[in-house]
Amino acid sequence: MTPFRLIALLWACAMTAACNAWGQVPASLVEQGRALYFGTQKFSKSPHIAGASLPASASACVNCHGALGAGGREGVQAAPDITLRTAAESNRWLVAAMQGKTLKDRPLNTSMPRYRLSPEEQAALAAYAPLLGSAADTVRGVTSNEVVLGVYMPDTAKAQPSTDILAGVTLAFARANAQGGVHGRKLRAIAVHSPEEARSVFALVGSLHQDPALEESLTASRLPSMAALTLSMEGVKASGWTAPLLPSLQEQAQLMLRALNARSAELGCTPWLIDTLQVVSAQDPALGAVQRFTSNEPASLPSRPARLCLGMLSTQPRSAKLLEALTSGDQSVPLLISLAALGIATAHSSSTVHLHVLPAPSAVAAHADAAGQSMWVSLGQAAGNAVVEALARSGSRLQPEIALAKLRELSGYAPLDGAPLVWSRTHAHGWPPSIWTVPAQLIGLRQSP
Amino acid sequence: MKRRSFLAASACAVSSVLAQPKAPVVPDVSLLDEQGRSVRLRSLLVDRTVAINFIYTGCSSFCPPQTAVFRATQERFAELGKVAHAPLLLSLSIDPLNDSPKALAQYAARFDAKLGLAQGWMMLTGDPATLERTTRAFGASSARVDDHPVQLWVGCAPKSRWFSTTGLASADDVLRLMKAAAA
Repeated sequence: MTPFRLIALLWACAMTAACNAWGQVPASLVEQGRALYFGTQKFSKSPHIAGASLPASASACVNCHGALGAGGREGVQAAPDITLRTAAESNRWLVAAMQGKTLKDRPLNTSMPRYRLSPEEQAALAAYAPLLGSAADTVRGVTSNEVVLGVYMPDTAKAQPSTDILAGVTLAFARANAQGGVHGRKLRAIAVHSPEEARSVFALVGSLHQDPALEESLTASRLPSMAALTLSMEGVKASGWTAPLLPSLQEQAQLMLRALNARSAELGCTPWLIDTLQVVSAQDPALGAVQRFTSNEPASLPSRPARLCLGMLSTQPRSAKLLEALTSGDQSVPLLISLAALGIATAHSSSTVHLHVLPAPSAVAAHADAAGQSMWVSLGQAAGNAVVEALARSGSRLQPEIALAKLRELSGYAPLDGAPLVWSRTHAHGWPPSIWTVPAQLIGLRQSP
Repeated sequence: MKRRSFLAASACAVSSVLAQPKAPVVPDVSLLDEQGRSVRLRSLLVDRTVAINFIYTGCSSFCPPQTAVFRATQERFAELGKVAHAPLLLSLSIDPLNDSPKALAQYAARFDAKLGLAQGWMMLTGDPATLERTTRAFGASSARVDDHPVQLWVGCAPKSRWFSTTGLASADDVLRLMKAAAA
C-alpha cells in the first residue's frame, strides 16, 4: 500500500465512528508519528534545506509549525497551519515534506526542509497527521476530566522538603478544583519517584531534581518541569524543558555581593567572601571591594581584619566551623550574609547584622510565617498556583510545549501575594532573590535541596 | 552591460536580493567570539569577503536553517577559487542576554560548525548596547528577538560592494554573492 493510499484509509478511518480506536492502524504507528512530529524521535535521514543538511536537533516539525500545527511566524518568515481539514488534504503532509510543494503543485517557501522519509516514517506521519491539533490527540497525563502532574521525590533521605512541596501543590490544586478545575478538568498531584514514573504525568511541578537521568528524560519525553524548585548552579536556558521558579545560585550570589559592598561601606568593615562553591568568578566586576577566598580552612586564610564583614557561599558544616574560628574569643563580625538555601551557622553575636539571601521574594517567607507552615509548603503552593494559571492560559487543547510557554509568559502574575513572577524570554527563573533579616531559625530552608 | 549592472544581475539569481544596497556603516566595536575572546568587528571586515547572518541560540525555527546553510557554504569555500580577499562567514547574535560565548559554542556544536578565523566562520556576541549598534547598522535590529528579519549581507569592503537578501539564501546563493562581491 502506498503511503498516499494509507493516508486516505486513515482519514476515512478517523471520520468513521465504526472505526474503533483507529481500526487497523497500530497505536505504535500513531505514537511514532507523534514522536517524529515533536522531535522525540529523530528522522532516519537528515532533511535538506536550501542545499544544506539540517541536523536532527533542528528537524522536528513542531519547531516551526507549533504544538497544535497552527503554524507561526518569525520575522518575515511564516510557517503555515498544517492541520488537516478534509480528506482531500490527507496527503498534504507527505507531498509538502518530501516534494516541497502543495497539493496544487505550487512550490513551498525555500525555508521548508525537504525530508527524506523512509516508508515507515511516511506511514507513521500519515497515521498521526489527522490527530494533530484535534481534540482526539492524546496527551500523556491528560484525560477529558483530569490532568495529572507529578512532584518528583526520588531520594527518601530528603523526602521532607518534597513531602511539604506536594502538600503545597495539593493545596493550590484543591483551590482550583473547588472552582471547577481548569477548562473542565480537575488537577491531581502525585508523587513520582523515578524518571520512568515521571513519564506517566503531563508535567512535573515544584520539583527538586538534579538527576542527570531525569534531565535527559525531560527532553526525550516532552516532559516539562514547571516551576521547579531546584537551585541550579548555573542559569538554565530560557528555552529548555525546565522552568525554575527559584533563582540560580549565581543570581543569589550577585545580590549578596551588592549587599556586601553596600553594607560594608556603611559599616566601615573589610568585606570578605568565602566562596568554596566557586559560584563567583575571580574576575567578576561585581566583587568590587570584596576579597574572595575559595577555601574555608581557617589556616589558609590571612589574618582577619579587625572589622570583618563576611559573605558565605559555603555549605554546612564546614562553613559553621570557619565562622566559629573567625569569631572566636571576643571577636565578632559586624555583618554576616549567607545564602538561606545553603544553610548557615548562626554562631554570631547579637551585635552582628545577619542577612539571608532568600531564593524567593521575602513575601514568600512572610506567607509561610503567617500560615504557620514550612516555607516548602508555601513554595509548593506558589508552584501549584503558577501551574494552574499557566494551564488556564493554555486553552483546552493541552500540549506540554504550550503549557511551558504560557508559564514563561506569567511575568507580573503573583502566585503568592506580594511575590510577582519575573519570567521573561531573557530571564529563565521565575522569581528574583531577596534579602531578609529575619533570624535564621525562623526560616524553613535549612536543608539544602 | 556595465560591470556593476552585470554583478547585480548575476547576484539576482537570489530572488530577494537587494543588489548594491547602501554599504553598512559598521561601528568600530569589540565583540566576543565563542571562546570569549575580544574581536574588533571592523578589523574582520577590512580585507575580507564576508557573509553575515543574524541568529540567536534559542531560536528553533529559522536560525537553524540559516546556520545549516553557512555550514554547507563553509564546506564549499574551495569553489570560490583563489580570491584576493579571504572569505569569512559571520553569525552575529541578536540575543546578547542569552547568548554567552559558551551558548554560541554549544549552538555551533549542534551543527558541527568549525569556528575560527582560520576556518572562515565566526559566531559573535557582545553586550546588548554594542550588538544593538551593530545589528542596526545592518538593518537587522528589531524590538522582539523573534521578529528579527531573516537577512543576509554579503560584502567586500575593499571593493565597496555589498548585497543583502531577505528570506533564506541557499549555499549556492551565498557563494554566488561572495564571488560577485569580491570580483
